[in-house]
Amino acid sequence: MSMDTHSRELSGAGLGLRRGLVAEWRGLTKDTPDFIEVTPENWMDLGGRFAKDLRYFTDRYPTVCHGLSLNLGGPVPLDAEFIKRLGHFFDEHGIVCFSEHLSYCGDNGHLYDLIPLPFTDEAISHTSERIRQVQDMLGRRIAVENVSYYAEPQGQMAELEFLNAILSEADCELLLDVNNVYVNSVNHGYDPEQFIAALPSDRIAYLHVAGHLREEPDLIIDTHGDRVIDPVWALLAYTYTRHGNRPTLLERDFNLPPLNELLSELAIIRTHQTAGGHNEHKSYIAAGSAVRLCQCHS
Amino acid sequence: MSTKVTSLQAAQYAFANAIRDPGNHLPPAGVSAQRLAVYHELFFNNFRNSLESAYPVLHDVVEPSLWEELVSGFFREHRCHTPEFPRMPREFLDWLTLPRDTQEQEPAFLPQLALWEWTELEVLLDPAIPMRPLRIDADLLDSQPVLVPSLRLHRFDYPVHRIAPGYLPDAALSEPVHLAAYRNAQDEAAFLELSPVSAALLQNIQENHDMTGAEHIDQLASLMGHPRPEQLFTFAAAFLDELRDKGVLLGGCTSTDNGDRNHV
Repeated sequence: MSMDTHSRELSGAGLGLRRGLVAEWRGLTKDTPDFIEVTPENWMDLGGRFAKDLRYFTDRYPTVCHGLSLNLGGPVPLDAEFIKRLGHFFDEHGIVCFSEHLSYCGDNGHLYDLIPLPFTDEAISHTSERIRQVQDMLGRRIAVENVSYYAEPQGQMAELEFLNAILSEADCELLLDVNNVYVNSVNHGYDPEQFIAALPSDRIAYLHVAGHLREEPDLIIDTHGDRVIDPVWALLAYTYTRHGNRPTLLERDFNLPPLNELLSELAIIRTHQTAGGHNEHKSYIAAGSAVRLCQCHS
Repeated sequence: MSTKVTSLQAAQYAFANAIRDPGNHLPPAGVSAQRLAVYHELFFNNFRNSLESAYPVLHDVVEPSLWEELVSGFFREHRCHTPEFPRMPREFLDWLTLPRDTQEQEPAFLPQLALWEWTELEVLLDPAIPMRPLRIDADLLDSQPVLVPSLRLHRFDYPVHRIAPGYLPDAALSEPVHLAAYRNAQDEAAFLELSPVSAALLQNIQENHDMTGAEHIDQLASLMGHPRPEQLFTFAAAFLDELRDKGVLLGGCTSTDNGDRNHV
């Protein structure tokens, strides 16, 4: 368990660290992101150039981790050895917050992508129990992200009810992905503002925003491969109005543009944060307090 | 622990099976065939892209239809255990070399080429650091030579380092080729083609940390029954210095404290 006595604040506009951005980003001294997000599975236990790059960035930026392979809702037992290694990684790099996906990523083998859970009571108790186990093993609270989904396996309730039940039963934080709310509102026909308004403010650790791909009128794929579109900016602004100013991370995984373009999107985030942020919510993270690491208060 | 499969688990296996192999598995209730196809395509392309960047030569030299067959066979049949996506291509190599229904048009060199391409990538990822105190400028005959931890030694029946679309060997070499791959001081992947004697020397250094360079050479000479050991000695001493220049040897250790390296 981390015994780090430093405390750090997460605020402003962050950018996901990607290998393809490193060369240009390394020399950046102006208009820098306020924090970064690292996918631990893509960086952990590497040597050479990768290790040096990672160290360069985690030394200079407050860093959150966003995992992919924990398989929180999965059908096989949690990988205790992997969770232990994640804990070491967090300690080594002073990770201020850890988030994972509210989904599963494989059967008895990893598929490295997100499969939607059925919205059932059984899935709620199964997944909540596992989130609690992970929190116990890591000695810190984690945040779970609402994922994009392109099909809805037969269930008993709506996504919103499912998500809120998990937050409550697992006693965990929420990484609210505003783009995913938009994507799902189109794919599954619901009102994105109503969805966001019904989420518990005090559980929101930070936000994600990203671009996507419109395949068909009723199918958006969450590619993280393009600019954020205007309706998603509007939904982000609404989120700040409803839940206060929250640290927000821009995700971009494909079709990486020159860094400047991403920095200009961070500027848009900050503008919305200022406009909607009369109600100041910073995610204040005291790394020494083991129980509540992704804590938000106004 | 109960081994009973819950209805949630059953639904999850059904969904995952259908994603892996939509031709032979029905999607779970609530999931249309069209949306299952979306999932299959997203997941499969993620695997394919990663494998194409890890095995660029293999991808270039086999027929596109064979490549497609290999990737989908792996995606369908193999269960990946590493949570780290950059290490997933290693499991493709494992799958290729395990007994399986091979395709008729698979070239015989395929598993060895895959091993070589993975090795070139693996040396870039390797987190191991030397765990012994070393002097960069140590006399390599009097001290215990310390190898760069990323060093990998392999022997191949095909000249895998020269295979390209214009050069596809259809028969094994009469003598195997010895190749070394490692990460150099510039953090790039580098490789060496070694003579059998050089390869034996390097392997001996890798396996026996407590011997000095001179002891390694003596042992090699007696193993070979070399008629003129002093000639081998001169050659091998120069070779050790050359290895240090290239970054294969980091230096020498004179300590008796012989901690082992951590290999991951």
